[in-house]
Amino acid sequence: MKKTPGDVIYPACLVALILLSVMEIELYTGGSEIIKTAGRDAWLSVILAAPVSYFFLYITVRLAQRFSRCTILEYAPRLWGRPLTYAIITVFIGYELLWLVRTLWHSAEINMIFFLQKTPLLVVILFLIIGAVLLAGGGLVPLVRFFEFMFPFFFLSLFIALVLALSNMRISYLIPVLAHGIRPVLKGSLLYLSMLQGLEVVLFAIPFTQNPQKTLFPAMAGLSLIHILALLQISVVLGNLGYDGVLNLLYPSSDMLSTLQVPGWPVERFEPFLTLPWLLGVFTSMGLAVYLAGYGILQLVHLENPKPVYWTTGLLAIPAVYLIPNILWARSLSLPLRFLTLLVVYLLPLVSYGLAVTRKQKGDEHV
Amino acid sequence: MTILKQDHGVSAHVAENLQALSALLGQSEEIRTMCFERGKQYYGLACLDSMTDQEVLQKYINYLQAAENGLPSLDILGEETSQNLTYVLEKLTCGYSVLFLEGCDTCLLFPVPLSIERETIQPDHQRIFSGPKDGFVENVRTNLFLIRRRLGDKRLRLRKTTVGTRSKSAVYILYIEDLAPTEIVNTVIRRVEAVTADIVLDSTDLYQYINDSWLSPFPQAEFAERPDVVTAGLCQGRVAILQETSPVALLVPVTFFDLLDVPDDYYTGWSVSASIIRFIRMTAVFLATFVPSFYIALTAYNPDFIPTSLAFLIAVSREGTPFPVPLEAFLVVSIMEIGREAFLRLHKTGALIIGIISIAVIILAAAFSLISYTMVIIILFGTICSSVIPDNELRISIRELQFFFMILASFLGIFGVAMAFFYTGIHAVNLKSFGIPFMTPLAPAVYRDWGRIFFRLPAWALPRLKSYHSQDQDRFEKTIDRKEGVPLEKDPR
Repeated sequence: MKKTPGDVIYPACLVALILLSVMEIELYTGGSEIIKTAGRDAWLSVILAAPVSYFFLYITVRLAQRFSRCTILEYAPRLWGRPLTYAIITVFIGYELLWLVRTLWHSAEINMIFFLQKTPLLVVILFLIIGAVLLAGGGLVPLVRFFEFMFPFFFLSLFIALVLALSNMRISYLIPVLAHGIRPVLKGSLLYLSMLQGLEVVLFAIPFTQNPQKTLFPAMAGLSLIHILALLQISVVLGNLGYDGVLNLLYPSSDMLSTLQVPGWPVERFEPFLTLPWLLGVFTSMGLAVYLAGYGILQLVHLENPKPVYWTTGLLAIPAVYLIPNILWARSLSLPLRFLTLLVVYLLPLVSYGLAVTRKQKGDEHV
Repeated sequence: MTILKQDHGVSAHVAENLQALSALLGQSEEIRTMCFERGKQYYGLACLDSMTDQEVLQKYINYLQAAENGLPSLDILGEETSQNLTYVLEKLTCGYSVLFLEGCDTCLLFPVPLSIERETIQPDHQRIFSGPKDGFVENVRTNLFLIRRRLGDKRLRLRKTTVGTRSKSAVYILYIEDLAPTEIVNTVIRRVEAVTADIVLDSTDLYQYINDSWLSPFPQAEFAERPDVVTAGLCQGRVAILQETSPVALLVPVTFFDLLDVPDDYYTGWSVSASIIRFIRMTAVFLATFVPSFYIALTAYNPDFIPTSLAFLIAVSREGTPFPVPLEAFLVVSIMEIGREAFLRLHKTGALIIGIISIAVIILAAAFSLISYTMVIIILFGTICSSVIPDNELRISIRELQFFFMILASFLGIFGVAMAFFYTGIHAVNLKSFGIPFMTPLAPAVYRDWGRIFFRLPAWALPRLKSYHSQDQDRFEKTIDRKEGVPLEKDPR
């Protein structure tokens, strides 16, 4: 596509980009797992994880600013050498594909539960994946614009739902604090950190921004919004349903909203406030996963036209979804995905930055 | 039959020239020729009867006949001379007359165009309550005058070109040199000059040749019928395209939010009320797109999301209706759309009758339980909301999008509405108008412009739009305290 004066993305776009990339199924459903791990102190796990995530995000942004005009897959050969770069790209593609398939499966499942009980699964999947490929096919700049476009709808409806839920919350469900010591809380923090899939987008978006040196603040702001929403979500779920109430639920956030009764509001069911941003969150995450997986493949095969790669990536996810028979299998996929998240989102930028500093590598030329 | 060369030169003999011109026009009755003698000088004059103001021409003839010593001064008579008959013919079709002199192979061309002009009254599509009430007319010179009267800037540039190999319509491209981005100006000029059509009748016709995406339902230019709108657009760094015989100027580039802008917002004294009205307008666009489809989705797929008392009301109103909800919705919307189309096509009385009949059909259908009352309310509400949209092209787009949303809602419920929204969003963020993203300043987010687009700050605090990448977007803020008018530093110019 020909570049025009409008083809710029401003550093502020990172707020919407990070929020909509990370807030998807994992953070909605994962709340219950954090609660199961950390008990009543789950909210504390989020608070403790926040500084760690800020530190890693700081490193990630600094790394991206150091190589301000190319993505990590482009400058990786200078840091890691060619053989290791190929290995990193392969792991990266696998991670993105796994993320895509898992998200696609969950979103189809949620649709079957809430909206379309009788519609064949394939119809829902096709609509989602075609949309995701169309979104990714335009390239990163329109993708970012889409995130910015959807940001107000996403944030406002989610924020309203969570604030409404605050009114029915019981603080007594959140105490006593540290009743089982610090270990479960730390485990919960690690679990929370491993759920921040999509944060790696920073490494790919910063080189496209108008001024990469001004991206630290918006990136931190985006991550802060995630922490605020996650903290609100876990607190209101715990505060409304209680620890015992959460244990046996599949989608506790939604169940919590169905129990809400807010006087003066002309609605009886509050789930749409959550399910619609949920749908938006998974759709944007899928678009991003298709883009990043396709981008990784393009780095390996060096094709002129990226669109067939995006279509192949998207269409490959459809049969993969049918390989997951039930929710237990889908949840078991979360373990390798979270492990890969720790590798790609935290370890890769940290070690890359260390290598760049020690080897005094920087610059903005493409490799 | 005389066979003429492509570029026929002017002969030294008047009679030959007049014959040649007549032959070039296929001996058409439209050409009017006359010869007269004054002293020793023999003259020939030709013009197109349909294009010439006969009264003015007669004055020229009287002047020529009164001249005592041959050829009158060029300065007094006309604008230019020519030695090429093909060129002369082109000028005749533009309302010029030509004067040949015996023994001279150069002719004089002078403009005597017939001008039929209506008053510069307020355009029907862009009516306002306060502010100037003049609008563009079919005469481009008048339109240029209306703009120039408002814009004394010496950096206003005008570039003329013609489009249509047969119609040869004059097109004027206007921009402010130090505001409009050069790349956008060049793109506009390039696209206009690349038009190869035989006939381009109107600027709206021209728009179809120069827009970015013909598949898009969204307009990629603003169709302005008011000189104040064009003047404001030029000051934002945009480019205006005016065409002879068209009362509509094209303003490019355009964004979605500009199409929701009305001059009344700026002519309203209290900026807060203007902001609230603007918010209502934006909400109306949102509702016009979503309300019918959301109603279909909720009633047909997820009635459990509807509050109990409302669900009962809907159930009662639907009692005995033979059609499923989606079909019912399409039925009512179709009656509304057909009624609207008939309303637009007929003369005043007929339109009024059709409007009443359309409403009567819907009410009778509801009374006989063919359709439910709630459906009528929903569709009429959607229609009212879409009528709030100030731009006619965008209004049509939103109505078409309403159908797209309704179709997906009919098959996929709330998920379908969400998908329709996502797909429309993907298209909208990929769309550009002359290089500027259509959803600016929301996507990409240009926060500074939100004070002009989503709210209406007081006139002295209005930011200059950054969305259009105008060349000196930061100059004004840096040099002037905008409320006090005190210079902060020396103006770079």
